[in-house]
Amino acid sequence: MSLSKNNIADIDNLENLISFSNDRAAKTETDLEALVNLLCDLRLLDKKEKRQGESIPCNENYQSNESATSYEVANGYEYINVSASPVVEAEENPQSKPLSQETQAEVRSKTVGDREDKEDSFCQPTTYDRTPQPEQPTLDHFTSASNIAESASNSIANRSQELNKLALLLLQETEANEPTLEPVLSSTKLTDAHDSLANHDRQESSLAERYSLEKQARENLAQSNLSEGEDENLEESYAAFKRLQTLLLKSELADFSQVIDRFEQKVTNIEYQIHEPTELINLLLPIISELLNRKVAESNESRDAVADSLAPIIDQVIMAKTKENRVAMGTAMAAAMPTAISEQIRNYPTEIGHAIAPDIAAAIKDQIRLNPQAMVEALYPIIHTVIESKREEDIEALSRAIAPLLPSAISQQIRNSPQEIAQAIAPEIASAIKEQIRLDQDSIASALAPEMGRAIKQQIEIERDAMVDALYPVIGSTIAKYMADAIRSINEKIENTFSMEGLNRKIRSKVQGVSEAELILKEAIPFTARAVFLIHKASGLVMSEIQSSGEQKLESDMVAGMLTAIRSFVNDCIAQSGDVSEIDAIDYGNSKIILEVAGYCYLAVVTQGETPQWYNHRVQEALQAIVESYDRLIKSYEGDPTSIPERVHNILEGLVKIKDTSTKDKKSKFTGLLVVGSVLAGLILLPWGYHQYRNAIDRQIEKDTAQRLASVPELAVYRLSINAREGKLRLSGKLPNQELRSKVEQIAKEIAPAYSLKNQIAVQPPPDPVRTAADVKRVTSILNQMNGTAISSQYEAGKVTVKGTVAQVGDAEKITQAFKQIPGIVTVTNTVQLQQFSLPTRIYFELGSTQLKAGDRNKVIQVKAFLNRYPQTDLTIVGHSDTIGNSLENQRLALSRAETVRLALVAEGIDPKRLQAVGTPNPPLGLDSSQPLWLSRCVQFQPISPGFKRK
Amino acid sequence: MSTISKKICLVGDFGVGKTSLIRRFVEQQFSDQYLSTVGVKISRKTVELEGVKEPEKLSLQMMIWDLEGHTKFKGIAPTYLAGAGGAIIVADVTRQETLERMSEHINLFFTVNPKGFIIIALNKSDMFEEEKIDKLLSNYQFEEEKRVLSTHSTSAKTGKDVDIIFHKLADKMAGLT
Repeated sequence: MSLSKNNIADIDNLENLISFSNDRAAKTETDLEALVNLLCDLRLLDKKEKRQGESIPCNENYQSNESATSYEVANGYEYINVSASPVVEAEENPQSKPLSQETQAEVRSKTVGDREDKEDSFCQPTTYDRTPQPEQPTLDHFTSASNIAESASNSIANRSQELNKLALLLLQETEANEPTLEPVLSSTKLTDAHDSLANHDRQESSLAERYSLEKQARENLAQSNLSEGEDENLEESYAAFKRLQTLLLKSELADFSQVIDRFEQKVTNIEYQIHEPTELINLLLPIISELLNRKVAESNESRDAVADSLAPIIDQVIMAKTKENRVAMGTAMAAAMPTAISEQIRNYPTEIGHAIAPDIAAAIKDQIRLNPQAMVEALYPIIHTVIESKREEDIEALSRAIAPLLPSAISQQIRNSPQEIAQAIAPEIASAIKEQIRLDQDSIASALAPEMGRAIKQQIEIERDAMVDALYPVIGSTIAKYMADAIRSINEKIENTFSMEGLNRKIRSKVQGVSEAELILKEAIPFTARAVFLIHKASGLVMSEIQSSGEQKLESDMVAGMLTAIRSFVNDCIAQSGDVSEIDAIDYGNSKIILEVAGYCYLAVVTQGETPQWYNHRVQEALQAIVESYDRLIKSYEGDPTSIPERVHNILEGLVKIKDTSTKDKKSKFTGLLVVGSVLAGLILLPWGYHQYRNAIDRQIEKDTAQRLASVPELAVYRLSINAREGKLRLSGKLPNQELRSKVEQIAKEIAPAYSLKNQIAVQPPPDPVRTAADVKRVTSILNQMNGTAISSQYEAGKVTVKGTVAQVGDAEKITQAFKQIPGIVTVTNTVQLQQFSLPTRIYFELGSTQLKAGDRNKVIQVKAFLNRYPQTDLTIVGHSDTIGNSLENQRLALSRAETVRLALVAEGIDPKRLQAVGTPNPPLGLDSSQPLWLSRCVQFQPISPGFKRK
Repeated sequence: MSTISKKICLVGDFGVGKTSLIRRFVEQQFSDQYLSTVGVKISRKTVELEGVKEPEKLSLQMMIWDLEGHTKFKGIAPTYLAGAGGAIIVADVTRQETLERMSEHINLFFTVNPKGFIIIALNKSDMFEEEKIDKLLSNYQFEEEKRVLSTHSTSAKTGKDVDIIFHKLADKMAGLT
């Protein structure tokens, strides 16, 4: 059985004993005097005490107290025996130190054990080695303190019990009545005792040894008793011995009882002393620590035992002591405290931490409240070392520990002295932000994002110019690009506005609800997107591509590479430094590559046909969507197309499969306009149609009426006009009598009953034919009085036929009008002819002569008379010659002859203006070569009538 | 089998044989005619790489940018180098100044692409004595630059080491070696 296991029993025993001793103490409380004696006796005990005196009174005590089971008794017996033996030795030796030492060790072993038990609850077992040592000085304080002393007295009470048991042993040994035995026994036991404390087996062996010794004693006793036979069995001899003993001891019994009394007194004293333990403590004080030390140093087990025995009570002890005298306790512990704590911290920082944690805040708070300056001073020299070492050790734990306090601490500090905080942080803030960006790119961005807008606004308010300068290069080109787009489209519109084609388009665009520009585009080649590439700006690698199906596939990688090279080239060589401009498009024939550039990538769209404006916007939107979501992914593109998300492909696909959303809107707009248009058209067309319809009906009625009137014989000869209009039928014309007029009216009513009839037919009776004929005669005679007019007329049934000649064209018309004026004349047939004048007179000349002959004088007079008769008529004088000779000469002769006659007529008084002389080498008409030549040498006259002259 | 794309650039002085190296690698052809490259010419070749660990084959499409050679009037445009995963710095063993300018090209490339790799090709090795070439190789190792993989003596005419430099660069860019 190990000691540690025994311990529980010991504790039980101890507790029992404590109560026992208390009881005893209560009994003996009154006996103060005896205590004083006892104290004296205790001092004297070593010197005076005889072992008989001690052992005999113990016997009774032992028996009265015996209550444990036989096994426990054996143990307890052994234990007591072991413990007690030094006492026995002490009794033999004059020095009291060994005894007190041992006792103290015992006490200590229990208290320490108890304490260690206590410690076990939160300490690792290995602390055993160290903890007792720092305890050493404190134990002294414990013993000096009454509380400790009280528990120590309990231990001592236990010791008294043990003494009782010792007494029993002594009694038994005394009963053996063998004085020689004692030293052997005691010495053996003394050595055994130490061993047994450590080892139970050894205890048992020593027990066996002791029994053998006892046995030997009995044998010795038997030998000494000669009356008993050697061969008698042991029991019988023992019984005989008992009897002999009784006989022998009877005489000494009185002495024994005396001794017992004295012992009892001493026990009482001891008990009293235990109750009032100062003296005892003082006595024990010098050796107690050494006892403990020795006990502890002895072996692991013994140390354990000490620890175990002290364990259960040590906390109570300390607590009680603390309650009683805090200062003393503090002083006592103070010296050892730092070492103890530092040691503990070194070994088990976590436990210390846990132990201190709940109170440390309050403690520190308290201290700060009481004396902040002291706290500061105390902490000041070490605080940075503490933090430093802690940080080195476990940076994370430190940060965790500080973390929750930091915000409020910082905010407090900021509130107190913002300037200082600013100065403190300022130098690090840039690198801190940089580092944070390196660690987590998003965090800074998301932290700043919500404030960005306001920050910019603020900055603009503070210094507008700086902001303008900062943004100028970017915004300038952006706006320029958009403006260029806008202006181009405006230009296009303007250019086409005033042409005929443009006007036509304008009308169509109004009707269809499509912009003119789009109409122009539609007139051109239809727009298609062949391919879309999303290209990494720096490397020119294709990140995503969509090509329209059915067409020859483009070499996307090569296209992208070359486009990137071109872009780079343009940016390097063409764009001015500082400018942020980009290629927007590359045109080639009908095709075009639209480039839309973002930060780390750009879109290239290969299109055919004229690119509509909305598609450019669509491309911009697509790129914007891609960049917003995948900007960083694109930036760090490493050439693996699988790293590009599916959504990007979908966005690009949307650019190739063009579905013009704007057309939809326009369609609806178109239908809207169509409705409005058709309503307008309806408003216009309906009345017009109605009007047309009504017109058609009117015409039909007019036609029907005319036919009906024509089919009536008596009306057929009369011309009547029928006019149907807006529900009115108007009849006009002339009829000879009322009867016919009403007949026409009746027919009209039959045909158009719904029409209101307006009969404007005039009734005119036919003129009297006799009177008409008289009028014709009269008019004819009046007309014949006109110059050159010679007509005759014939009248028959309203018809006049005029014959004759007139001098002038206008006269014929005048004649017709004059006859038409006569009532009853319906038609005038005018066959009047224009009268032709002729002057048959010819004047002949001699061959080659231009002189008038004497006989021709009369002919000149005739001509002169003719001209005088018709003063309106002019005269052309035509000279002729024969056909002999030179025609030029003949021409001259002919003209000279005509001139001669003209001069003769002028000489006769004719106005030369009326005379015209012409010559011709030809003979006059009607003369041929068979007739005599002289007929050809003549002058003839052609009158020119005034009618001809006028024309 | 997955395909990734990488841009590589050939950088060097004029007339060192950049275009010839590419022509040899891409088309297995060589011509003695000298045609100066204007601006940039882009070629493409896909190489299949066998991963050391992965059983899956990996294809690397090399977009090879043949840049206009460096002359004393006109340097290499840095924007053409942007985004390149690797570069082959080419020098002509018969022209000392082209060898000397290589470090300049290396620095330029690393300025633009700090994460790129470089391999050195000492071209026209067929036109030079072998012993001298060995000496040149040891002189132009650029070992202090970890991203300069190695130096090779190449010949676009004979095809010596041409495929090696491209494949070595491809392996490195694909992260296999």
